[in-house]
Amino acid sequence: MPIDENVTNMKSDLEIVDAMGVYNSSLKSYLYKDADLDDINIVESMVEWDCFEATKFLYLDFESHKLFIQILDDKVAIIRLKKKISFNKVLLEHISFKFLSNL
Amino acid sequence: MKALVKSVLDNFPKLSFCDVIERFDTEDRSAVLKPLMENTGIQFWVNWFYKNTDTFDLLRIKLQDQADLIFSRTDKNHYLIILNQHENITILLNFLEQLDFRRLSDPVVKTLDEKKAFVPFEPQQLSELDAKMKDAMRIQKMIMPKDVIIRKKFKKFFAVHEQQDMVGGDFYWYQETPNGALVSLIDCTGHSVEGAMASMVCNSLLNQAYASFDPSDVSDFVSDFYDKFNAYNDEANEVLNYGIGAEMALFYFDYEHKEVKIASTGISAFLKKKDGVELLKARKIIDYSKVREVIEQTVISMEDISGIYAFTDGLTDQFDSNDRKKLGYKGVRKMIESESDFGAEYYSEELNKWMGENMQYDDITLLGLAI
Repeated sequence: MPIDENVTNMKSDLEIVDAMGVYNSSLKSYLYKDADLDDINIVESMVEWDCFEATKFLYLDFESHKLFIQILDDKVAIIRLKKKISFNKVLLEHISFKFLSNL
Repeated sequence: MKALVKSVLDNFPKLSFCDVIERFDTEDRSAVLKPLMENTGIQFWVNWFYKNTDTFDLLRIKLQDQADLIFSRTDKNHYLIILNQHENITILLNFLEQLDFRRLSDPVVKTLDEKKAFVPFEPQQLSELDAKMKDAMRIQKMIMPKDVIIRKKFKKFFAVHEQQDMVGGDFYWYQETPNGALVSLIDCTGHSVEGAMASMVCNSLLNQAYASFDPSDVSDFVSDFYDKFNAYNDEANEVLNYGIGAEMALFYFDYEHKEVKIASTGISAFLKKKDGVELLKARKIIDYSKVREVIEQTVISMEDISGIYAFTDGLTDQFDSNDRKKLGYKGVRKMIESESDFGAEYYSEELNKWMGENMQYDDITLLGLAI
């Protein structure tokens, strides 16, 4: 299945996705990126410092927005979450993991 | 800062590491963080934390060995760093959210006892917190209508009501009317304590909205509920920068006109008819400020249906025992069509068979109303 379709399916499963990207940390390039996802620098700095070596996922809260980052091997899903909406963390972690597994 | 660390450790004594560091103090870093630096995975994150200049409020990392590494900003230059391997992460994160770090930078507050300044409650032992969850469960059950009362108005009634934690955001509401009965199923955002607190707010708002109930059109009742809901959220957003969400389905069983009137902002239901089972799929209304504009009432003759099955999306979203497939509408339909008994026991059993040893991902509620 093309990655765009996978992203569309995931966004419909998870209503709290504001914008997202899929990054390959080996190739250091994006496989997919929404136009309005501008959290590139953060993710690339984490890759530069090998942060994802022993990491499953992470949440990063800024004043303006919240990021969820799921890691599977060299694939990284970066999901900007819609503001001020409570969400099911367990489902988010699970569905994003399955999304990366299917790529 | 020592009082902050003590407060956290008093409540969570099994934390592997807990301390406050100044982000740009090299000496502080070396001395305080030495125990963490022995772990390579954590070392990478600590190095990133010091080299990266972005200011964030909270970073929570789940490591491959299942440990949680947390960086929580206490003020402009200081972060509370926690390594957790044994404590309940939900309770820990909720605790951290409640700590009012901003008061630490208030010069007036600094002259007071530091412990009282930022800890909103007296330190509790973890076992006391578990007991309080049980108390919370009892209180949440108190707002739920008694099944025996609801059964007086229906041929049969059952409820499968499984919260993901001890308390949660799913609940149902009931009100007898002069000529019928109102039943509502509500799914509040958030799990556990957050969802449960939201459910208390929504229950109260429903009771208030009932005061102006007009049996001719239940969509007005739903709109009235959301008017109050939005007003509540506007105030909460202004003061706390936080709001709650809730989707609901309202069913009015009008025994005088032998009709069922339905309005929903996202909760679907199956209708049992003579010729089969039909899905009444709800249109999800995401923007609650538009509810009054877009909500519509569906009217069904009681002669056309023998039963209604309303459910929250926790049921359809539940993955199977192999963790591959969601139950979905198909799975719920199949359960209804194969129904051996119109009761909670049958549906609970079917749900448990589907889930197997897999975890429950969300609060799950299924209501069955036989007409």
